[in-house]
This record gives sequence, structure tokens and C-alpha cells, in this order.
Amino acid sequence: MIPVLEMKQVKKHYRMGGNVVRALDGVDLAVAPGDFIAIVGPSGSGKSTLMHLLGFLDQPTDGTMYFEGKDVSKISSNERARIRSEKIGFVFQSFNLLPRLNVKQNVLLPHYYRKSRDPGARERADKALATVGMEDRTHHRPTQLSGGQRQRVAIARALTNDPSLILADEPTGNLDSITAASILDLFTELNRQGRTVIIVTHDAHVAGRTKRQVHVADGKILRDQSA
Amino acid sequence: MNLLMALWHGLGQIWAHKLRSLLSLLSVFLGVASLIAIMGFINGLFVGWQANLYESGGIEKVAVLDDYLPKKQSYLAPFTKGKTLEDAQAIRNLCHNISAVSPEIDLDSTVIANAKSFQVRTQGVTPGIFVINRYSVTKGRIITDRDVQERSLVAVIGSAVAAADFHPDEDPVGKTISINGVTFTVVGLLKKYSLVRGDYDELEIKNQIVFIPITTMEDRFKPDKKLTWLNVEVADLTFMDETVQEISNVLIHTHHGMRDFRVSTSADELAEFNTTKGGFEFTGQAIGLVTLLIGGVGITNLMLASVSERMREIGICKAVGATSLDIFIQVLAEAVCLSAIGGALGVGAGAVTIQVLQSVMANSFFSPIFSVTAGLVGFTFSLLIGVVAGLYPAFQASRLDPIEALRYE
Repeated sequence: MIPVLEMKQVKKHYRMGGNVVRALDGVDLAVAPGDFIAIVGPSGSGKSTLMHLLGFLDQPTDGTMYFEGKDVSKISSNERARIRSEKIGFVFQSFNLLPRLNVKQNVLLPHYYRKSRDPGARERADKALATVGMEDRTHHRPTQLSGGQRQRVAIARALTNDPSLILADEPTGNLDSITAASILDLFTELNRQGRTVIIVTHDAHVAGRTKRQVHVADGKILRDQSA
Repeated sequence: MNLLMALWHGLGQIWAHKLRSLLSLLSVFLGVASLIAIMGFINGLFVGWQANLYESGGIEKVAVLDDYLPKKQSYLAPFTKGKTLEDAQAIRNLCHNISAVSPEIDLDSTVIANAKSFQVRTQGVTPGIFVINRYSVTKGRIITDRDVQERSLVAVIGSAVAAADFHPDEDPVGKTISINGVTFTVVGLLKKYSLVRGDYDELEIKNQIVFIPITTMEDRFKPDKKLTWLNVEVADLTFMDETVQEISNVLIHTHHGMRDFRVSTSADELAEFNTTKGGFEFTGQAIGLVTLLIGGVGITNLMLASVSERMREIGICKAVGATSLDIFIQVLAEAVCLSAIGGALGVGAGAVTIQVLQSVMANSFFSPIFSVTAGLVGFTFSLLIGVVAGLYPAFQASRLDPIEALRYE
């Protein structure tokens, strides 16, 4: 089976002041369809950088990256934007909904930036909202919702373009433990339905819920264990 | 993201920051409104001038004027006889492309009727003057060729003369008047001309007039038979130069080779009219455009503030798939929306201002007239200003790194 995403000896170096920071220093990682991965590591370990690369927000300095079998190591920012809009669903720690738009419009946001018009978009947005249990809040503003509800809307937004990969960055970091558990249940359910999910976290409890844990430290993968 | 969607989002942004948007579109609004108002005033001014030009014969009118003999011919001066009725007849009979000829002899006169006397200009004329200087009668008839042939003692009087010498209810046609002691029968009453501008009626001069046949004028008052005016109306303006040449050729013959005349066209006056009008319009537009430019700076400022305020939002949009071009178009569309709203409101306000001023200063020389061109120019430039003002902020927004933008709180 072709991996959704594959990294071979990927490096990411920054120049900070006069020094070169090796945020990632030779990472090998393959994400199979249907994987449920937690990327774990302390802050400064390089896990955020890894997430940026996995989410096509950034480009590796060195090494090769394949997405659905295609070499994407050196693609233009427009091509990366296109992959983000059609193949990746982002979920952030601070939800990152647009306060000006209502729930439905927020969920449809990725659709606005698709290259071609998608006649099924509204239907899928409704379906995504039903999946996360927010179908009766479509005309609410984000400010009228609780943290857990906002994160559900954000997850619906990540689902709306039917992505190959859902990428969540500390999705429970701003939530209380009960709400956090229900959000994790939601990710588990999404994975059970066959979606590929990667959660970046420093919380061992969150990592314990996934099928596979990738431990990152000093820009390298220390351990890659499957439950 | 398509353009329509971008415009819709832009409107949403503008609505979300009502006060701020209002303040920055205010300058565009004022710029366009002042442009419209200034152009309205200039337009009003020149419409008056143009009417004046038309009523005095327009650009089809060619005037034969007395001139000094050229140096080589100066010794012939005692033989010059000036313009005469024969010149007029020769031009009418020989020249092509001529629709009317009007020889005129002026006389300062005292007109008496009903024992009331009125100081007025009396002109000896032919029917040509009614064509060239655009006179028409409301009662009776004009001076005819037959009047000229028969040297009749008939007169056509202006409305000011009728008002001075006759009772308002009295019909002057058929009555007799005395012009410098000679009795004439009134056969026609001229239309009342009026173009009031402020305290001054530009066309009142057309009302203070008495016409008699030119031959009668020669016989009774002006035995030297010198014409005061000799005007010719050209039928087709495209052959103006040829016609002027023909008139000169004819006059050289009738004047036995003496160049004691010159043929003057309204082209000079028209050229002056156009230059002056152009100058005024340029100034007015410059003032409006400078104001608009200031408005543009205001919009740039607002958009820059708005972009740095919405760093995170732009980061989110990029994370979910917006390209740099998408963001660029989105910000630019917002700027254009802003200035277009200001521009449209400005055109409306300018038009309303002109309407109000027209009713307030209805009889003034300075009464403005709405110019459609100014409206179009104003709105178009407000759009253009929006594009220019939005370019830099849109560029700044489009090149934001999504990671940096998302990190921004």
C-alpha cells in the first residue's frame, strides 16, 4: 500500500542570528492510510517543525518527501497551498475559527480556496457538522460557543474537503479533561471510520489513546512504537 | 477564491469595522463630491458663455471688419469707402457655401411713441440679420427683401422698446413710431430674449433694438452708406477656409484691390472658449484628484492596519489552503470596495449638492450644472485609487508566512 506521506532523511535547518538551528536532522517516517499517530516530544524537540512539514506549511531543507507516491520535496508555495486545501485537514490548539464568520461559513472556509468549484461542498459541510455533533449550531458565531464546541467546529472544518490526512496540533491543550476526552473520542471515531489522523502533543495521556506513538527529540525520531 | 466572493468578503470586512471604514471612505467621498461640485460650477459657467456665443451667431458667423490699408497701399487711403451694401450683395450673389448675409448700419436714435421717448440703437438691416443673429418675431413680420427694395418706412422693434413706449396691453404692430423725427409703421415685435445670470441679463442687449430696412437707413439717416457691420453665415463649416477666401476675393474686386478690410471668424473665440474651459476643467479635476489621492493614502493606512491586525486570520486562511494570490485579491478587493462605496456616495452627494444649489441660486450666473463626465471620471478614479491604495497592503498580506502568521497573537 502506498503511504499517505513518506519522509526520507528529511532535514530542516534555520538560520537564527549567526547560528544554524537543526530543528529536524534526518527524519524517516511513513504514514500509512488509516494510521492514528501521536507525535510526542518536549518543546524544542522539533515536533512543531515536523508538523509544519507534514501539513505543507513549510518545506524541508534537505531530504525527500512523498505525498501519495509523488515527490513533493521541492514544490512551489502555490502547490503546497493546493495540497493544504484539498488533502490536509488542520486542527489547532486554539481552534483558529474566524470570529466574523458563523459556524457553517467557518466550515466552508477551505472550500473558498479550492481551485475548482465543488457542488457537493455544502452537503459535505453539513455532513461534517453532523459527524462532530454540531449540526444544530450552524448559524452561531464562534464566540457563542464553548471551547469544546469550537474545537468540534474546527474538526468539521478539517473534514469538509474530505482530506487524506487530518493533522491536529495539541487539539486538547486548551480544554478541560472531560471535554478533552470527548474530543479524543471523536478523533478515535474518525480513525475508526478509516481516516488517517496525526496528533502532535506533549501529553502522554493523549498519546496513549493513539495506535502509534512517534517520539521526537533533538530533531530526530527516538522511538516509533505501535500499540 | 473568485472575484465576486472576494468582493463579498471585502464588504463583510467593511461592515465588521463600520466606524473605521466610514472614516477612511469619507476622504474618498469628499474628494469625489468636491470634484463633482467644482465641475458642476465650471460647467454652469461655460454653458452660459456657450449660450451667449450661440445667440450672437455661433461659429458659423464670419464678420467682415474694417482694417487699415497695408503699408504698400496706404497712399490709396482717400479712395477707401469701407463696407457697403454692394459688398453684401456681391458676396450673396457670387460666393458659395453661404446661407445668409447681413449688412447692418447702426444709428443712435430716440424712438418716440405715445409721447414716450426711449434712447435705443436703430439698425438698418436686411432679412439676413434674423438668420445670422438669431432674431425672431412674436407678432407681425420681419423686415423683408421687398421692404429693402421699396425703402419702406417700416420698423421691427425689440421687446424693451415696446415695453418703454407702449402700454403692456397695447399691440405695437400697426402703430406708428418716430425714429429721430421720421415716422415709421411698426410691422413686427421681436421675441423677448433672456438669460439671467446674477443681476445681469446676458441677452438684454437683443431686446434693446429697432430694425428698419437698410436702404431706408441710407436714405434718411446715413447718406455715406458705410456699413457698421457685415456678417456672413457659412453653410458648411468644413469648407470655412475656402469660403473665407472667396469672400476676400469678392471684396478685393468691389474695393478695387484695396485691402481695407479683414475677414474674421469665430474660430478664434471658439478656440479661446475651449482653451479657457479646458484650463478650468483641468484645475477642477486636479483639485478633486488631489483630494482623492489623499483619500487613497487613508485607505492604504487603514488596510495596512487591518492586515497587521488580521495576521492570524490570514495565517488560518493560508493553512486551510489560500494561496498568496487568494490573499492578495481578498485584501485588494476590500480596498476597492471601500473606495468604490466612497466614490459612489460622493457622486450621489455631489449631484444632490448641485440640485440644492440650483434651486437656491436659480438666477445666479454661478448656478452649477451636473456634469455626467465629472460623475464618470469621479467614480472611475475612486475605483483606480482603491486599486492603487490596496496594492501595497495586499502585497504585504500575501507574502505573510503562514507559520509566522499563525503564531501571531
